[in-house]
Amino acid sequence: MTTGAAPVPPTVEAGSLPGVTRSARPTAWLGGLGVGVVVLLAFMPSIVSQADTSILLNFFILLTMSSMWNLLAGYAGMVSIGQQAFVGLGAYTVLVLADGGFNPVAAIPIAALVCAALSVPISLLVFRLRGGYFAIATWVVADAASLVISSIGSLGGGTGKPVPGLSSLSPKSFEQVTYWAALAVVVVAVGMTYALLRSRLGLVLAAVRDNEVGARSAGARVVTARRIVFLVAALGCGAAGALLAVSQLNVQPASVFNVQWSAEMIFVTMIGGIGTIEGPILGSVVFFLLQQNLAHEGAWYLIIFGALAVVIAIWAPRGLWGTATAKLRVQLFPVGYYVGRTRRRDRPGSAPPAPPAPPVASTV
Amino acid sequence: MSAGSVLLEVDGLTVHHGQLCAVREVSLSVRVGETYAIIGANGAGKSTLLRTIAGLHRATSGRVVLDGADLTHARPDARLAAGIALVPEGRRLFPSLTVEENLQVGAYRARKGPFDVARVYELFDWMVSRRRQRASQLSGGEQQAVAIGRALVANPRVLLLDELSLGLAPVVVQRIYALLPELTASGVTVLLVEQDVGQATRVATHVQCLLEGSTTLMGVPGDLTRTQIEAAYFGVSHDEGAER
Amino acid sequence: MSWLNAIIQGILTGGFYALFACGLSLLFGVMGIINLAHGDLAVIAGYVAVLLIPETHVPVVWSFVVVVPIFAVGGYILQRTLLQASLDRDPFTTLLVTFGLSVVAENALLEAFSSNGQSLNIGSLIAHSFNPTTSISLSYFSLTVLGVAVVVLGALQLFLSRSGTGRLIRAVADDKEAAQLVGVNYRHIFGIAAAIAFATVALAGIASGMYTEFAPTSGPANLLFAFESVVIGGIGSLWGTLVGGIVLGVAQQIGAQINPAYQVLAGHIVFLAVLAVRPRGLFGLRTSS
Repeated sequence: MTTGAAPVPPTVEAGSLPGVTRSARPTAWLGGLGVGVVVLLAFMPSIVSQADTSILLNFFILLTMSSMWNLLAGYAGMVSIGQQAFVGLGAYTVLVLADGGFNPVAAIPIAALVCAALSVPISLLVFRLRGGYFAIATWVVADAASLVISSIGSLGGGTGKPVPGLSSLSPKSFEQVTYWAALAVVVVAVGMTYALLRSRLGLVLAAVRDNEVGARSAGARVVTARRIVFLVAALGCGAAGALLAVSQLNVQPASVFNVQWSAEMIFVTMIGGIGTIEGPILGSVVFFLLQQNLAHEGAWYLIIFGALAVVIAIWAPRGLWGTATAKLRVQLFPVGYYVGRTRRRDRPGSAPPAPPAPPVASTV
Repeated sequence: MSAGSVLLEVDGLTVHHGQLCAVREVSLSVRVGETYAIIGANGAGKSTLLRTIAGLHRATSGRVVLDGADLTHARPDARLAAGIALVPEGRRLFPSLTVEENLQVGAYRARKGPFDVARVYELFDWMVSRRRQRASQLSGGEQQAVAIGRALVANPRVLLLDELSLGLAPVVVQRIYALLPELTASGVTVLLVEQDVGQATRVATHVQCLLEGSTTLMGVPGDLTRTQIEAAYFGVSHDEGAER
Repeated sequence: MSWLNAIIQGILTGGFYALFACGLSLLFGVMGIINLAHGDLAVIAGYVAVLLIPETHVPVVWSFVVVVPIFAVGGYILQRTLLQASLDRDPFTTLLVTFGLSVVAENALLEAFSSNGQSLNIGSLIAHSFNPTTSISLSYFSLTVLGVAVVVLGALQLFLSRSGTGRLIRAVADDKEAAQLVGVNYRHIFGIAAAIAFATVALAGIASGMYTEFAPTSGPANLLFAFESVVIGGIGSLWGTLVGGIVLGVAQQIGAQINPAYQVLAGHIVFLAVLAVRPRGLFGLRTSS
């Protein structure tokens, strides 16, 4: 991605602002860094142990989910506690396709699309409620989805079923294939989030976040924007669920539809920094460090992680990334607009000039 | 406390809304028994000034002192107990409560004094028959009267009135302003904010004009010329209109 | 005849759900927030009773006399500290904070008490029932709970509409800034509302703990059923909540009659159907904040 101006909707007069850039700093080298990191990660299975590869794979799954929740809540203001619905439906779509003789890995993108399609009727229902009521309604939908799946005997009922179709692979190549699939999913998920936020939709979301009434009156299609975000989040969580099915080779309703997935997404995002693309990445790292160190302490990692999320939500709502970079104005993924210090063309009667170079729609 | 001594003192008050400076170094002193009017155009900072005196905004700097007691850092409910009551812009009645309930809530932390719910019913006799109606069912003028009554039953020493005339028919405004002498006679000091200069100069014993957050003029209405007030209201130059 | 019995059992279950739901509804009405830890509070109340009964020598059936006041005080304190701090940010933060507290509470209970089910054993009192025919059974305990729910809702309604504090609660719910201007410390009023909500949900948790088993993971189910009762009945209507609870209870019992596995699902389906057809609920005044 270059730093050129994105297409600007006619309703927002960003085009008439002088010297608008995407970032406070030149960012071409960041793109190179990103490609480098992904290439390095792609070679990881040959470098690190099988256990570490498996940890990385789960890291990718959690990061995918968290990025989706961050998009929902951090950018579109929708707190969903029912994203496990799409995790579960994604996993079961893989199971159904694999049962039908389809390659489970090739089924991952199909599972994601199925979840995106299912999100449309679901959004018609849950969008009737707002705020906290929306949050619990998504949870009810997830619980209902879990109960429906559990009642279908051919899918293994409440105990679940193994995923067939990958038993011919050697353990080594199975591990590599699932790892690469997870890497591909996470790169697409983060990249898609980034592209989405730099598009017209990102501008609408930023406007809604600043002032919903104002955005509506300026002609922004707020509901459409929310619907698109809900669909994308379902797509991403569906892919993550599909990865779970493929990597664990077993699908169980109590596991894939567990509200704990939403809890982890939420905590990771809150701790890392909600409303920034970097936040979920940092939050996922913190989560895995904590989980690895407290692996033998039962549920303690969730207690500590949850308490940390509560503390951060109240006393440091920008999260670790947001707090650390508030002063520096660093963005690995520049999605905001910065007004440059260049010549101003004040119109008579306009509002008093803003101080130099404030972020117009940067991090929260 | 005798008539003529300073009751409410605002000293070098500066208030910000985020980065925007809404009130800049404003000072005023209101004496017992006065009707003190703040005038100014839309956006001059009048309401912010009043809301800061009532404790709804935090002052960046400066002091608010009532009869010697520094209330700059007091919460709004503590200021009411000390004797500052605000009738906010837009009335802000409790819409789901009845007229009588609105007045009863107003008396929640009332000081001792001449006003109670019965006295308000004497001032506005139409309220008696409508006391069981929800506040949301009243007309704008009626709501304004209930809002004043709700502030009066707390028996404030100084009553802050924010844009009483906003959105009301002129005849209703006249009727409400006609009440002021009666309130003053009962010992209430009034600090009011008004966009309508004619209305303010008619009732006030003292006027102060704000422009973009700063004081541009203060004095006794009789001493001030129309040109002086216009210049202070709109800014120095005559042909340059006020914002908006 | 078993269908009639299912409907009767459903109506009786509605009493439990209304008791669970009224605190959720009150907090939303006053503060505009949803406490996602609401269901876990009921579970915690059960465990507190389990812990305190041996210490206090209070008969199990009267354990609520000890636990409910503890919860009222705890609710006031939690509201004035953590919840108010989150509310000072925005409702979005409160939602996430209560969800975080819910997860922390659930896992802390798991660590402390294991995942095994517990119950509050009130002996033979639970077994007594009134049997007008051989296939219909009305448990006296469930009838009592339904009666308690009606009394609690009625008392709450009366308190809000008639008492001075109730008037202040309604004033703060209408406009908390204007309430400050008449001298009301809205934080204190929020604390009182939270105390009432915590007390009622503790009562619900103990009643349900006497009737069925509970475990650390029972919280979310309590929350979802309470929430469904509120939405089915109509957000903002206290008596609607009772009707919502009864509708939910009946739906679940009829579902269970078809197939025991469909009990909870049938409730969800009725909830989603109400959301689709009549989003304001059966007695709703408004759809949302």
